[in-house]
Amino acid sequence: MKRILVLLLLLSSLCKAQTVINTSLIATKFKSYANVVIQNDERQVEIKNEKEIYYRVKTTFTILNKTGDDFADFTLFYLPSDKIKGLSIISYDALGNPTKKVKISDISDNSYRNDFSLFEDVRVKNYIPSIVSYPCTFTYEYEVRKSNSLFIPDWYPQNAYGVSVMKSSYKIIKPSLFQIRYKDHLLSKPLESSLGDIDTLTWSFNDEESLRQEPFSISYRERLPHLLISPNQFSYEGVSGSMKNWDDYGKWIYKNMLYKRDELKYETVQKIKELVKDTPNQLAAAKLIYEYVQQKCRYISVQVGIGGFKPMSAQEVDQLGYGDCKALTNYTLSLLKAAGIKSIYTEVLAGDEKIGLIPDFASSSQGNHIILCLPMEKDTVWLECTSKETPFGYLGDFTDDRNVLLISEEGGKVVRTPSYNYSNNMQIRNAYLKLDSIGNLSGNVKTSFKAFEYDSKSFLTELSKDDQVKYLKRIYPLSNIDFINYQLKLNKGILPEAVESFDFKAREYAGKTGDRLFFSLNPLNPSDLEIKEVRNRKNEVFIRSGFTHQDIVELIIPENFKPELLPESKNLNCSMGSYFLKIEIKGNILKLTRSLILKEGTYPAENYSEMVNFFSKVDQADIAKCVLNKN
Amino acid sequence: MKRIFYFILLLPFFTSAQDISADFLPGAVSIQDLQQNICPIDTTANAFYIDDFGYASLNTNDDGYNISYMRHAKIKMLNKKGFDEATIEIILKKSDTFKFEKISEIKAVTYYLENGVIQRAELKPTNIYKEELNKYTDRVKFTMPHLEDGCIIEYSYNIISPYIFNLSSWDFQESIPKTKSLFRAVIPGIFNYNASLKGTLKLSDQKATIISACFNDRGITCDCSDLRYTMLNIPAFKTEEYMTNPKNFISSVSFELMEVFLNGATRKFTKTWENIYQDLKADSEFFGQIKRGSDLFKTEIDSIKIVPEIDELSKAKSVYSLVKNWFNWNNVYGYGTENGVKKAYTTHTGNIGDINLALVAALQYAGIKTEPVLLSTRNNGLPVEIYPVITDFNYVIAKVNIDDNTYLLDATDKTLDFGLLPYQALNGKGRAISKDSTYWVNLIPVRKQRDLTQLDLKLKEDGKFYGVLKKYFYDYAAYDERKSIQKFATEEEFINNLDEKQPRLKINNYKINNLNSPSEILIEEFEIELDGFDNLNTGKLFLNPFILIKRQENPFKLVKRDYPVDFFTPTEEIYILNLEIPEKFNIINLPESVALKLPNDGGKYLFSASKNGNMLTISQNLSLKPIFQSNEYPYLKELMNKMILNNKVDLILERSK
Repeated sequence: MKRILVLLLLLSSLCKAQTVINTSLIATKFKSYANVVIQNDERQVEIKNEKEIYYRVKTTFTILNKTGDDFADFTLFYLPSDKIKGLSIISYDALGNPTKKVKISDISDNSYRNDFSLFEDVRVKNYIPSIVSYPCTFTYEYEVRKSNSLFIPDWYPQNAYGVSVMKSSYKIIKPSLFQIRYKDHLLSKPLESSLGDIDTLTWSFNDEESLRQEPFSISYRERLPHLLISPNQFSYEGVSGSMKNWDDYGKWIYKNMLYKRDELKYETVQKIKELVKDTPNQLAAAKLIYEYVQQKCRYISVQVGIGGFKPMSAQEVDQLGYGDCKALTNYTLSLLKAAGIKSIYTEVLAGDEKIGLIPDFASSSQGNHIILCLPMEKDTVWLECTSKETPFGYLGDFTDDRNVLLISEEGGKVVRTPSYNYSNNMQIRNAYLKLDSIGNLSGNVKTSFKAFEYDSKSFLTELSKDDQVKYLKRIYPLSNIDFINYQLKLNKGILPEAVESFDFKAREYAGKTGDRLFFSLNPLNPSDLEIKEVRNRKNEVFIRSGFTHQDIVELIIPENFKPELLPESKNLNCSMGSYFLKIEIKGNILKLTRSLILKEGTYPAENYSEMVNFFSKVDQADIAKCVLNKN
Repeated sequence: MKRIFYFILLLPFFTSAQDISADFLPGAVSIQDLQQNICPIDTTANAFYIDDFGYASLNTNDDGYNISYMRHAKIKMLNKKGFDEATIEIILKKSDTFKFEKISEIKAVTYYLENGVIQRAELKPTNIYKEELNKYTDRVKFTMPHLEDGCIIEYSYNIISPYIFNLSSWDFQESIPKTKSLFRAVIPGIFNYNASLKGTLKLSDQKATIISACFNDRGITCDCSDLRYTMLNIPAFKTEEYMTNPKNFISSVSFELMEVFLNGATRKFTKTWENIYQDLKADSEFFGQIKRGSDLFKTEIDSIKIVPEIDELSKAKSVYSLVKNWFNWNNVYGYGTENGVKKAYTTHTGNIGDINLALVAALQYAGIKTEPVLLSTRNNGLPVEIYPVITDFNYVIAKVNIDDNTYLLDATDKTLDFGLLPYQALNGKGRAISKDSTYWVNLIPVRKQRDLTQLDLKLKEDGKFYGVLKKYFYDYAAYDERKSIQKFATEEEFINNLDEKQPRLKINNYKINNLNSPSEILIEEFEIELDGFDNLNTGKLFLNPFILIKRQENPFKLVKRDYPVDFFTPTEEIYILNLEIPEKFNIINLPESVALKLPNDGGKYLFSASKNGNMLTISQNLSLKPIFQSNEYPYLKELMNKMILNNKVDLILERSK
């Protein structure tokens, strides 16, 4: 990961006296469905020159209830080269009287840690106030001096759900010659003024009520109002550069960060040539090399100084057998090059939220991950180089379906990664079951999982046997289930498939009373999809990924029993999907045929209730029981 | 080639008798070791310690005494799933720029086979990182180079620590198995440490020998005890669900400094309970605070005292509410005061010690027999019981004795009722401290997490259920429910959330009683509509009596457990359904009653169904004790099984002809 999250959170502002208002004077509209009210938030970026930038923040906000507590956590990420001044944290009671001025010694100052890096040189100042009564107000103020101008902080005036904003502003003061570009979303145009050779731009965002989080929505990063800013010329860790578009940015990265990082020792080049000498074509050779890297290397992230952008050299990775996304991608690229195969270093914003780079707005803070693009004769192949398991050519939901930046000698170019739709993300299950007269169930189950459904199962091969069984018992939650001959076969490919098969026994599956047995005919697909209602939904419905599930279950009923009641067949449809259920009796066999399709996409907000209703009905149909009666 | 390690040279007080190469031979990796592809004691392991060796010795230098601690480990990586074990993290304590732990001699090598020949990849110093976790802790991290399936990693380091009170504790057991773990401590005779062993695993060997004249401190020479604790074939420690702090179960040995004999005098560090009492009595941060806090609530308590015929219990309850509602807890733990009760009183804010010592003081001022009780929170682990370890405690509560009854009180949480402790405090035993005696107090609560759900419904011709849902929450259940309601800005938002969560359910009206009175039963009452059937035009209807619960699964899926199931408190869940069915229907299968009981008064499950005309009544009661030992686990699991099975049975309603 690149160190970008850190800079997104470096916020800034003005140093004017600010008054804290009595919380009873806050208008009711700001309190409705809100946990936090921002009374006044002022941020300022003052650019003296490429190597001297001040971020100033002064913010006053009120916490209304316990759910808002986290908002009051003070977190300031900074680099060793940054200088922090004037840090002040003051708390106030409901009436606006100051209750505590936090001592600097009470603010922790540690190394920044996360669960994907072994080490980063970023540091973090952190203070978690203990809030003892509500409402209460806080004022945070600080200034950070930075010598890197590559990142100018983004602005999210309403940066979370449940937050209302009374007043906020963002100001940039800069020399006229220092040119910037910006991209805004749901904000009005800035006020611009010039005095001599100094320009000032001020954005305001006032009087906004809190927004409710709604399920099945696009990411808050895209939904909430925001401003992105990028400099046209900049300095980063002593390296200067300029960019007006992605092409420039790509050139800068290539020249300063990638050039010659792909050199390998002669022996390594020979080893690779030897490895691929018998392969029939480039695609096969690339696959072999990719698997060689997977075998040899593991993902370990270390981010120090310029290493946030510059990959560890291919030679070093070759020795250590580990590296971060940049290093492993660059290493794979270098090995492919040794075999005469061209590939391209690609920047992406990874994560299951599917946020792409903005094609017409280049800035260095949009990506956070590197993958490899392999332009092949027929089709382009994409490689995720940080995983020991990911199939060759498969991206999964970490980097699928979004704009990414190809970076090469020729510059930068925005392209889109492949998507996986509901007909790719398949789960097909066949189960042959037998119920005995006491209610014990046994059977054989075979299921195929494709694309994203593959991701939901393939990791099982990485678990220990014990953990595998624990996991299986959770996803197939039949009381007393025992798995026999569990097998999971991975057919890795550009559209990967996992085939799971097992026999099982489950004592006391069916409920029993008198001569009757009660049970569900689809015990292994507890698709607990009942979704939450949202009244007066405001947001478009966003279904990130769709899927297709098909089940065929045949169950042999115990001798001397006859069905007394079977669930009704169903055929349900809504804008975003469909459901089909058929239950037949053939001699002593009950046969269930079921399919559930949910289609990815964006739908009008009004359609949400239709979706709630659909899943509620699906759920009802899924849990409907069969009743058998003894003759 | 055999590698030379330098740690022996670093410890100048070793004589040849203390040569540790016999305990652990560095670099001793054979082709057979590298070819081995299974852990001999656990076939499911992905990595295991072939050897784990810790060596601690107490030394002296110009700055005083210090502990030299050496760790040397050899880990086999059976496959890539074990590679996480190749990232090593070492914690270093620090106080200031003068007093801190120093690490040196970090050596690490990966051994692997290439064409049948053993190869070594060494860790480079530039690939070792140090980060600051907080003011008092640093962490050194490194990850091993060149990992591949079957490789062996070996590392060692030395720490010099000025913190001699705790002579490093040693975990025999970790998340991966170990074929051998040896901890050795060489302690000069003038120091007396108390060693305590924790966990369920047994030592394979324990040896104590004397090394003569091994310690020299400014001309005074003494013998040393050489202690060796060996454990062989140690299984991986695996956490289980419903488990209290795992550190109570991990097999380990730890040492606490008891006394030092110096210049003919004995300086005691670990004490008897009597000593502890004397210390706390003199401690301005403990009994000093109780004394100082006695008149804080004078006016209020004086007016409570003069209420005619007020009994002791009511008096205690009044004082408790008074103190509890006065203070806000600042989320800081500690049995002693942080700011002093007087300052806490004026700011209405304090740590656990500030608030609960003020509570003890107030109760005593009111003339109620009250003692402070020290305890350790669950996150802090169980305190040692065999001798006093004052540093084990991080919490204090008040124990009130009225007639033959005792009440444990905590005024730091406004949602608590008189006599309830927060979950963190429900941890084994606490130690009551009073001038007559100090003694252990059982903290396992008698009061339950009890709730009763009553549904009075009518099934109407449109296929929907109409009626009233009432939920009664008692004691810990009320505590939980109040906490979850408090997460919402308003009651209305709480109700809307409930309503929106279940699309089938519509809440038309609601009432929440006693939300802000923790001493009362919390009652929620909802007028509801619930989707049932599309229509009632069929001959037969199947109806599950657990109308609001979609499906249940047994939370206990393991066949057996190694550690106790810990629910914190006793549990009791009661469900009552009164259902009026349409006149045209008859119930043709009334489920049979069930009554199951667990051994050792572990709990029970009761179910019954009855009908009266077109009125149907179902009742169910599940009660469980707070803690089940691992041998009681199968019974608990089976009881839950039976309940779930029973709940699968539907009622069959038949249209009369």
